[in-house]
Amino acid sequence: MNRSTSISPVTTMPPVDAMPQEFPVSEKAPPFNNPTKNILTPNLVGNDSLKQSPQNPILGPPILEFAQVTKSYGPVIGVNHVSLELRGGITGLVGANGAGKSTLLRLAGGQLRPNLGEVKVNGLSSWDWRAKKYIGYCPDSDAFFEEMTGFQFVETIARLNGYKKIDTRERTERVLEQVGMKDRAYRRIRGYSKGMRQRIKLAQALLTDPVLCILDEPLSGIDPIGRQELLQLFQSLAEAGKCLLISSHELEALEKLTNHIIIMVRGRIAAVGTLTEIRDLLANQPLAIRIDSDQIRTLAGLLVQSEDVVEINLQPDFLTSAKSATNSMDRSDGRNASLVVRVINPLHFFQQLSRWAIEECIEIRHLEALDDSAHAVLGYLLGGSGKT
Amino acid sequence: MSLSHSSESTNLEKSADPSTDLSTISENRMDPQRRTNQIEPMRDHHTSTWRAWLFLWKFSLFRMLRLRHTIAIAFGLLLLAVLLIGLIHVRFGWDRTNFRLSRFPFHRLQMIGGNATLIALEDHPQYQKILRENAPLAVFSRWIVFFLLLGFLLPLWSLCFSVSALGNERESRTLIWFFTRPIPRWGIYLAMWLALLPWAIAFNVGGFWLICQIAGPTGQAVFTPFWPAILLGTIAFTTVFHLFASILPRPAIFGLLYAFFFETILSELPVPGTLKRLSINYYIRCLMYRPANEMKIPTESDSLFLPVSSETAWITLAIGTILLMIIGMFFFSRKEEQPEV
Amino acid sequence: MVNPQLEKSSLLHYRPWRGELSGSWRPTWAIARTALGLLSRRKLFWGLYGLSVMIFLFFFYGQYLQVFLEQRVTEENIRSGGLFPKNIKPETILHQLQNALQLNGSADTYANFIWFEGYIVMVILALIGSAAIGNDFHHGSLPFYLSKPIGPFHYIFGKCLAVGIFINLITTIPAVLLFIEYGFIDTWSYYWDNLRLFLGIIFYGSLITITLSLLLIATASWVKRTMPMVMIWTVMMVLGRMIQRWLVDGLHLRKEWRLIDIWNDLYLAGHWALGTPHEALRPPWQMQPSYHAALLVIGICIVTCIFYLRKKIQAVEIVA
Repeated sequence: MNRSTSISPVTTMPPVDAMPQEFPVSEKAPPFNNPTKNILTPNLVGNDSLKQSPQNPILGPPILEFAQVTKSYGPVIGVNHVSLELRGGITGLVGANGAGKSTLLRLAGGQLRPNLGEVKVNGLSSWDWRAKKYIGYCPDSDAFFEEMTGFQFVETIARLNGYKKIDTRERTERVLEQVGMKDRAYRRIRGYSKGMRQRIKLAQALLTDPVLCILDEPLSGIDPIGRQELLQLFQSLAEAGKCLLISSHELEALEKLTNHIIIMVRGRIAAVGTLTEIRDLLANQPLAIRIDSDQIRTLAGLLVQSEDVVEINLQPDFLTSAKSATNSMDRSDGRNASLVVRVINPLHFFQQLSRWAIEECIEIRHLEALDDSAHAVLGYLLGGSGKT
Repeated sequence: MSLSHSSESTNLEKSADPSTDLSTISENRMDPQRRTNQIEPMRDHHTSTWRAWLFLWKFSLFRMLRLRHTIAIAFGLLLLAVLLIGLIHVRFGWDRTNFRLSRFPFHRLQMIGGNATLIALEDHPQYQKILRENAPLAVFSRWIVFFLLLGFLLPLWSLCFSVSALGNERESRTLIWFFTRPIPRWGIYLAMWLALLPWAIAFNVGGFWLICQIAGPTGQAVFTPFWPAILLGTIAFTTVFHLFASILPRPAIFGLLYAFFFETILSELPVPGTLKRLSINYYIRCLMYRPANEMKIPTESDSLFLPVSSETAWITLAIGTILLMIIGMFFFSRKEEQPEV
Repeated sequence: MVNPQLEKSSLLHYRPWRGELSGSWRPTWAIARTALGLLSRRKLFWGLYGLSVMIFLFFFYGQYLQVFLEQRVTEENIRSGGLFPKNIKPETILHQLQNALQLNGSADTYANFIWFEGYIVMVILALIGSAAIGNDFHHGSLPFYLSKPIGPFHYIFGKCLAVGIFINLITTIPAVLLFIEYGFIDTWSYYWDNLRLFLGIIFYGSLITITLSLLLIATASWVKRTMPMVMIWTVMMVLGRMIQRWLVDGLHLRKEWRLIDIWNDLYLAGHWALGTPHEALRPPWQMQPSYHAALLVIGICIVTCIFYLRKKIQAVEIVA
């Protein structure tokens, strides 16, 4: 995953505790820097949904559009003032429990109607039954027609989509093959493991070759090998021109899958973009950076002078890491130790570090931001807890 | 559009680059035979909303078979009714005239003065009334049709199938599989009602037919004039209960209150007034009373019951049913299913 | 053993629970409390309870009215108040109240009151059955209860406790309140003179509680869902009553046919406990089976339910 190549504007917000409630979390950005305009892929031959779309999706309107959407359940606000547009590719949706992920997905899937604003899929309101042709929805609930076999279930769903009986079998077999359930499809769902049930849910969502796949926790309960298979399937779908909106608590999995993340906090979109981008814009939050160098104490002396640096730690333990282990230099003088510094303005800090490295002839062997992982970003956005 | 381009290239690079973590792991771990995730173009199959709706109707119709307990209890009730009616038919018969006369002073007069007294009393209005009210047709109609069927079995059979159609899907949280299909919600509502209707009709009209057959010639004579009212009543009741099922959280309980506290009490209020015209049972009785009068079956007093004509009853029930269906479809189209329900 | 120094130095560490496990019967109250909370959160329950309170208030003020009229029966006419005053003959009202409801603090008053609550009890039990018991079987939460250090019968007892509280809220407690009320409007010696009535109310309430709660749990564990539960209770409480009247009053079959109506059996057992002689049962023209026959049917019903539940709970791994 090459994060450095992905430099794009993102919208982000300060921590929730610091957020004024009136402040709109995610304003729809102008077209030239809209962060949600994600991957746009060529059309797929034989794709019903895409064929029905009159415009080329690359140039045409967004596949999924939230315009100032608010959804409340009585006194509880599920989704608050959300605007976003998706045009393709994979978008990960993360957030703590109760952040509004499932509400957002249900709105997108046309299972809920917004109290304010509009949710559109291919230009149609997601609540409109015609929009369902474009949507493949994999809900988080674990309810099935339990007495059926996996094959019968998917076949039933295909018939409910209006396919002829003769076409249904072909589609069902095909989609069960895609999710790796072909050989287990003739057992009753009642006896399925959680992972198998997840796959069946996924199969019904993919039945119609939908242009928009809304997957609510699709990796939940799937074993590690199965997870890789599904991740690969999602990749393939994205390559085939689908727009995938995936919610998951598996941040590492999402990180592998996509660099486009929506972070939800208390019903609002707190940040949209790649994790690195989001992290970069969180300038006020100290970023931990590991620096390996031969002249670590000299460098530390320089760093102390920087106003961007708020903390410096000498970390000899890093020498045991795989990369440093190959280095044969003497440790005792501390020349080969690592520094872990916390900086508050990373962009400025990196510029300054580059200048010192050149001016003072300091060789920097390794430079790594330690906490631009999804957990660290979430931890900051959620007010320090980082729990999902 | 630099953003779009950069994001795209990033993702495409990810998937194209064999050295990335994901593809490496996949390559290493997956059995070649199981590597079925590559998306190939799927053949374009035509879909039809009408076909989907028809399938939904058929699916819901046969899905009612899953209601094993409900169907078993409904059959049990039918069996109980059949046994009870069979017992009465075989052991007592439907003519209660002699039994009633034996409890009145006429009987004593007959014992004293012989049959000649009876001839003298034949024109007495009280005697005539006893004869009318205890004739087989009158007894069967009063006991079985008006009391057992209209007062208990018809509302309960209609309630159990109407509430179970939508209610069971909701309790099982499987409605989502219908809502995520390209079928209008009002179409789902209509299809489910049309699916439950044959079941309700089978039990109400079919059960009525069976009961009439068991009761011998008396019952058979009553079936023909009364079955249209039972049919229309079934349709009207199922519409009301289907509406309950779509908008109320505990439709079975509300339906029970409606059927046995509102319908039964209101339609049988022994006072004049038009309040009873709010109940379905009243119109079903109006539809039945006309053929009943033609067959000389005594019914409630007109001064107390204030019946409307059969035509008015037909039109009211038909319009009411259509109106309730439209209201139900409207509310169902706008109702969100909460996942925790 | 936790090192005290370590305890002082760090706040966050593993601390073993130092309490003592209570007996197996204590959790039954927790089970009952959960069920009570579940039902009390439903508006429908309060609506139904409101209906039962209306019946109670009718009896409550009816007793006042009865005493009021008895005191003024010497007057020819009573002039009522309000916007349009009327003159009413007290004998007429008194006669109706005496004949229809027996609002005179006698055994009939309390037995009639509980009898009239029958339909509300039926609807509420159908609701409780599906919401508080059927869901445990249907949604598989029974293993959650049984994974705790309690036996199947503790679970049944907990649920019976919850059902019993609801039944008593509708029947026994209002009946006791009527008893207390009558002492206030009569004389305090009423309490001592009619202690048998008080004990009879308690026995009647207990018998209803035990029988119906066991029946409810047995039916709920069998059918689980709301609709079949409603059907079963409607058949038991409505159709049963219809058929017994039909058979005995209409076809003049043996009076023992009335035993198919469980609510009538409980009514008879209640009268037995309240000390009403069998020949004094009202209405006088309605032939009733003997008290012992009714008690026998109730006993058979209780034992059958216990055996069924024992079998059902033991097979929980299959049920769930």
